Amino acid sequence: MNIIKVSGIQKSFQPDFYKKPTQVLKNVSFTIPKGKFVGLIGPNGAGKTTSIKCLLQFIFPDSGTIEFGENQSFLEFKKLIGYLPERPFFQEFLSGEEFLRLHWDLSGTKKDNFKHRAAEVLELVKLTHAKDKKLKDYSKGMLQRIGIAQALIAFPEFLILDEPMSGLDPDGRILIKDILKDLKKTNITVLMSSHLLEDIDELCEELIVIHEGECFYNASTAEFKKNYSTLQEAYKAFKGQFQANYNV
Amino acid sequence: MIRLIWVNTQEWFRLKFFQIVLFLSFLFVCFSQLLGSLSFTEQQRLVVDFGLAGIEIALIFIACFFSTHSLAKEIERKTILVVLARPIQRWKIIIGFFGSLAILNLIAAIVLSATLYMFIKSTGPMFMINYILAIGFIYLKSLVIGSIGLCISVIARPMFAFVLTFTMWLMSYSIIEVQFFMEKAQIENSKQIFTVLSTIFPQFYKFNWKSYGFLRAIVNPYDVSWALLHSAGWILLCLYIAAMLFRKKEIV
Repeated sequence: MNIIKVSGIQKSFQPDFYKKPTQVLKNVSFTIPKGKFVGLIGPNGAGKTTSIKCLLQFIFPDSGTIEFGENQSFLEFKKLIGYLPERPFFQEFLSGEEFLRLHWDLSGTKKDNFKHRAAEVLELVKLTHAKDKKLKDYSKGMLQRIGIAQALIAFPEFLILDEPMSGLDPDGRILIKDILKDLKKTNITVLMSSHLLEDIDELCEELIVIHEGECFYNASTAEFKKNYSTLQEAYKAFKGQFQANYNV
Repeated sequence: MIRLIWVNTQEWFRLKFFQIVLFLSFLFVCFSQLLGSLSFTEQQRLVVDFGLAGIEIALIFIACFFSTHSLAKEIERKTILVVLARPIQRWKIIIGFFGSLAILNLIAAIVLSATLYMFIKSTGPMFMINYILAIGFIYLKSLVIGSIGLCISVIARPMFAFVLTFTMWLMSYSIIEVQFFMEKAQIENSKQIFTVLSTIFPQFYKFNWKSYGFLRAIVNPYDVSWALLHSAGWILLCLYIAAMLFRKKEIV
C-alpha cells in the first residue's frame, strides 16, 4: 500500500514576469510505500526539494496529480506528517520546550500528554538538558536535532526529512542516524532527501533518483545497486549512463 | 491558532522596534502635557488634540509595520514552512497574524490612553464615555489599516506594502479634501471620481473623533453604529481577500 502516489508532476518557475520560465520538474512520478524508508537522491538543482515542496503544498504543480494515503484530504493527511526542512530556521526566541509546545498545539494531537511526549522526544534527540535554552543559543547540530524532535512530537506516521544530515559534525550525524535506525523498528514511513549516499545506502530500502527534473528510478535500493558493492558506485554508473544517453 | 497568535505576539513584543515606537509615542503623549501647560485658556484642548493625534499615529505606524512585515518575515526566514506542514488551514495563519496585531495595538492603546487620561484629568473635568469612544475608534482604525496591510503584503514586498498601506491611511482622511479641490477646479466627472475614491479607500474622515470638540459633544448613536459597521466591513473584506490570496501563494 502506498502512502503517497505522485503522477507526472511538472513545475516551472518564473523569477520575474519578463524572464523566461525555468522548468524545474519535467515529469516526476513516484510512489512511497507505507512503512518503508525511502531515499530521494539526485544532484543539486535536480528537483528534490521542489518535489518535497509539492508534496507539502508549499508550491503547487502546474500539472500532474498527488494522491495522499487512502484518498484522504490533504488537511487530514497532514495530521500524519512530520517535516524537517532543509535549513533549520525556527522561532529563535522560543525555548526548546516552547517550540515543541507550539508544534504540539498546531498538530492538534490528543494522543498523549504534552509534558510526557516532550520529555520522550527530547530524550530521543539528547536535548533534555537544553529544553529551557532559547533556540538562538542552540548550535547548528542542536537545531537540527530539535527540528527532528518537532517533526516527531505529534506521533507522525510519515516523516519527510529534507537533508537531515547537512552541516552536522560526525557526532551529530551518528546521533541522527541512530535515531532514524530506532525509528526503523517502528512502522513509520520516511522520505529522506540527501546528498550523502552512504547514509541512504545504510538506512533506505527504497530509492527515488531524480535528475534534471525527471524521475529515473523508483524501486528498491538493493535492485539499484545489484551489480555494485555500494550505492555510490551504482550512482556513479547511473550518472555515466545518463550522460552518455543524453550527450551531457 | 491561539498558540500561533501567542507566539507572534511574543515575538513582536520582544522586538526593539515595538518597544521604541511605544516609548516614542509615550514621549509624544507626555509632550502634549508640556505643550498644554504653555496655554492658560486652552490647556485641555491642546493636551487632548495633541495626545489623541499621537496615539493614532503610533497605532497606525505599528499596524502598518506589523501587518506588512510579519508574514514576509516568516516567509523570508522560512520559519513558516514547519507551520504550514502542520494540519492548519492557511487562512488561520492570516487570522493568527491579525490576532497578534490586535493584541499588540491593544497593549499600546491601553498604555498610551491611560497616560493621556491622567494628563487630561489634571487639566479639568472630561467626558469619559466620549474619551473611550475616541480611543476605541482610533484602535479600530488601526485594525482596518492592519487588515489592509496584511492583504497587500501577501502579494507585494514589505516596504512597498508599507508605503501603500500608509497611503491608504492618508487617503482615508484626504478624499474629502480631494473632492473639495476637484469641485473648486471644476474637474469633469468629479462626483463619479469621488464615488470611486470613497469605494476604494476607507472613509475615516467621517469618524475623525480624535479632537477636543468630540469629547465635549453629544454622540449620535447612528454615527457610532455606522463607523462600527464600516470598520468591521473593511476588516472582514480585507481578511477574506488576504486569506484567498494566501491560499494559493507559493512558498518557494
